[in-house]
Amino acid sequence: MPGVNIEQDIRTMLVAYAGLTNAIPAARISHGYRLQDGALPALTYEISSLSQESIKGGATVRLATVELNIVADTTKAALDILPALKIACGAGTYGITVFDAVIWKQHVTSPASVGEGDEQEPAEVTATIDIYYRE
Amino acid sequence: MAFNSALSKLQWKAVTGGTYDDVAAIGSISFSMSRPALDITPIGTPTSAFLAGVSNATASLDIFYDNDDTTHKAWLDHINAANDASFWLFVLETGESIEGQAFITSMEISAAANSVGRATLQLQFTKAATSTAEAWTVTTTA
Repeated sequence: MPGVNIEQDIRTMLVAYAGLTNAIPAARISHGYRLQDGALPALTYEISSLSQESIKGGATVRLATVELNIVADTTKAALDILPALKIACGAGTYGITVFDAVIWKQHVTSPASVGEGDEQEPAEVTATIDIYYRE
Repeated sequence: MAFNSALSKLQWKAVTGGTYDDVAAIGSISFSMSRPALDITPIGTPTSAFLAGVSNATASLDIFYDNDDTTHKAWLDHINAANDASFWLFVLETGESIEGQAFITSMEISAAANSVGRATLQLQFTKAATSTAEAWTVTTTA
């Protein structure tokens, strides 16, 4: 059965693991975007694709490919959060949605860099996961 | 008219007379019906001639395998126990259907990194030994 929406269920999954929310407070885990002057580290996520994987009959298998973006002041700070994020992305029931399998596909690190003037671009680690869930 | 395969479903029952149950987690299904013609061309005849041959039907399923799914588990048990052919009903989104009795001739469970576990089943349709009915039937909405 579907939850309120898959985006909310993904957030429920992320904030369910204290090891992650100890590193990134739940208030800084958001769908889609964050305020540029928001405190770091922060985590944003968005669904890059959503597809139906099974025909009708019983619960339908759906696949959501999700991009998770850790934003931190330094590359090390962002990478230090990665192990907790991997643990947080696990199978389970979130809301009333069953995530049968959560597969860690890859992650890419973008180091912090100097922007215009005295600005500094924060470091980002972008991870991609596949979530197979029932609806 | 085209039908929406995503809204179609597969149903299954182990024995005759029972009710069909929906089967979950079917990734894809394909049917293959054939009746190869029998060549009866006499020697010296310049044109081929054929008779209707023997019909055969098979199907294959690609599923997201789950031990806890009672139907998926039952299919494995059918192979283990050499059960009689079971009953399969593919209901198109439009309400039409393909129904038949088939043995599960193989079930291959596979797992790979970066994906979920799957299984591929092969079905061999059969005419019931005591029946005059065909091995499979097609119904329309008309």
